[in-house]
Amino acid sequence: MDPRELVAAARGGDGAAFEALLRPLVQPAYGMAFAILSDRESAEDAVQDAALKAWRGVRRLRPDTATLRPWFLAIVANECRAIRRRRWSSVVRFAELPRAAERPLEPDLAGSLDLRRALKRLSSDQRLLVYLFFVLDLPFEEIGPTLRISPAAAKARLYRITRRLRPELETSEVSS
Amino acid sequence: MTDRLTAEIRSVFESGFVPSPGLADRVVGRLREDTGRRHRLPWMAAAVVLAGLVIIPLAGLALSARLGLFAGLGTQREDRKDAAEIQGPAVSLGAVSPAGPWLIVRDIHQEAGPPRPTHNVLYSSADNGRTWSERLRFDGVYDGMSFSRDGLTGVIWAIDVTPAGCTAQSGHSYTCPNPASYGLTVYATPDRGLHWAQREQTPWGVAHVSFEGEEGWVISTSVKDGFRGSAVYQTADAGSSWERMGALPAGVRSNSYAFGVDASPLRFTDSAHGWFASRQVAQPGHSGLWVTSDGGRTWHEASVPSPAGHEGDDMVVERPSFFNNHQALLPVSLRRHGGADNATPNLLYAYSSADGGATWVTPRPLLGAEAARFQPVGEQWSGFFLDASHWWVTSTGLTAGDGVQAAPAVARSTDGGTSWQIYRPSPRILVMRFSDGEHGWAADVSGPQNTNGLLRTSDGGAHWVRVKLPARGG
Repeated sequence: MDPRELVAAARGGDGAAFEALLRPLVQPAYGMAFAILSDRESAEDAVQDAALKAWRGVRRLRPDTATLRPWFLAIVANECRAIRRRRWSSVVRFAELPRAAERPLEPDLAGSLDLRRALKRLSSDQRLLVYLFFVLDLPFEEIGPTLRISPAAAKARLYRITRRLRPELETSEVSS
Repeated sequence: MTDRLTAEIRSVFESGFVPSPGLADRVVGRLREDTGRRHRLPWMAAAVVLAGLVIIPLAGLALSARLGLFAGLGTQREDRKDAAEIQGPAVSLGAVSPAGPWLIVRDIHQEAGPPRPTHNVLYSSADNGRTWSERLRFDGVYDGMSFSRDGLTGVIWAIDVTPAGCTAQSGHSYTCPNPASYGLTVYATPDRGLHWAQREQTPWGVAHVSFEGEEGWVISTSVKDGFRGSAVYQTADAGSSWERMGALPAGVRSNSYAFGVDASPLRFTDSAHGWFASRQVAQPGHSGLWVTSDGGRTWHEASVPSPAGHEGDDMVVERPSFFNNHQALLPVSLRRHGGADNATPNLLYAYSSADGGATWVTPRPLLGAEAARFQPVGEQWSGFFLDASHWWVTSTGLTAGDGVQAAPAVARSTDGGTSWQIYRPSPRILVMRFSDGEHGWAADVSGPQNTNGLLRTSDGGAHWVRVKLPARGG
């Protein structure tokens, strides 16, 4: 079935159609949630809760919607933000990162360590943007809606972030 | 974009990644459950609305008084306008046995309708809280749980606090001509919690319960007599039979009515030796800590003079903790007038005993030099003393709006209180239980509605991870 037809069926309450649309998005969403939360249980919770919210809200999608991906990832990102907002989240969130960084590294991984530290210093939304672009390989046309900003703003932000990650990169390399 | 940077960034994200195999199936499965549940929603919504009383299980006497549950003799009146301070279901951390953690999920909140029995489900987990198995369903207000040291035998008990014959009055009020019985029902397991046997409800009401394995003690109460009466009963067979041992002196009662948060003021170390903390503000010559050395037949008041410099402060003596046959710790909370509110202590002290709790000496600030950095932030402070070395202290407030919920912290000592680490901010923890120096569990409240939850730590309380609660069965 054509994706638009699946979306239309899901909007009409067809659970099987919604499942067919959702299944391929679960692992990318989990990866994104883990990148923000650094905790398996929390990331799973974020995806589970986002899936429920998506199912309950699928009727509100525009009729011409071709893919659930940016919409669903935006819901997952919101769930991650909600989890992070809990009072103790900042304590929990980085629990694994210092330990990972403290592991002995081979000399040729020193650059990776710098990059790891630089990524760790990013805000969660900045890290999310990096993840969407570099790991999920999403186009700016989808990154923008996921972050609730315009594609142009997403592109500009990624440029600034990338310069912080690797100042030696040429401008042309990050603007393509 | 350079391939090299992309590869490096992907490598960084992947280096700490923990995959979640089968997540799509679980997500879809939950969606299908939700779809079915939505079809049942009107019935379930009605059930939720009708289910559960009760703030009193968690909040204790202060909130109970707000609800008016103890007002009047023979007639109990409940006003639900204040009852939104804790939202259910509530979660109690019952025990951590060698088999793993035990969790009680309770319906405690009722939007409308007269008081009804509180429904509880007992769960256990053998995989660090990832999955939960239902072990027992029971009614009444969950009060406590205890396992033998080897985890083979155990008990869980509940108290019937539901008044009968209630009729609606104007607004959200109900008049209940028949007060709750406060009868005690014990459930016992002989096989590590796989099976539970229900004992008969006691014909007398209970105020406080303490179990050590299958041996238990109760301080009874008479509801019809205005919660007076302090007879002491003892069981040696997990509640199958009870023997009246004696009574506390006339007029000795406890201020503590907080169920389900490990706040019983009663503690026995063996068949003869017991302690009862009345938690009344101490007066000169009256500590409020009562002691028996003959199994509850006779009681005398322990001598616990105020720490030097705190003679004018309000002092409340808490339940002692015992590390072995000789060493013990007695916490006291002190409140200087003019504190955050009239329920929050300003300072915690600890007395020590080297003679099995016969005498209490050398009071010192419980958190030593760190005391100034750790102030209790609410009326619910919780200490867990695993052994003579490993101690934890935290506190929180359940009383919304009193300005006492800021900056909760967990304090931890690994050298018997000589030095402390302060972990802040922390969850608002009600009760903690540790199985060793690093691994522990806690029940907490969060958010303005005091939503109840469960946490675990694997680094002594420095970091806590929220545990997914079991979904309540229908």
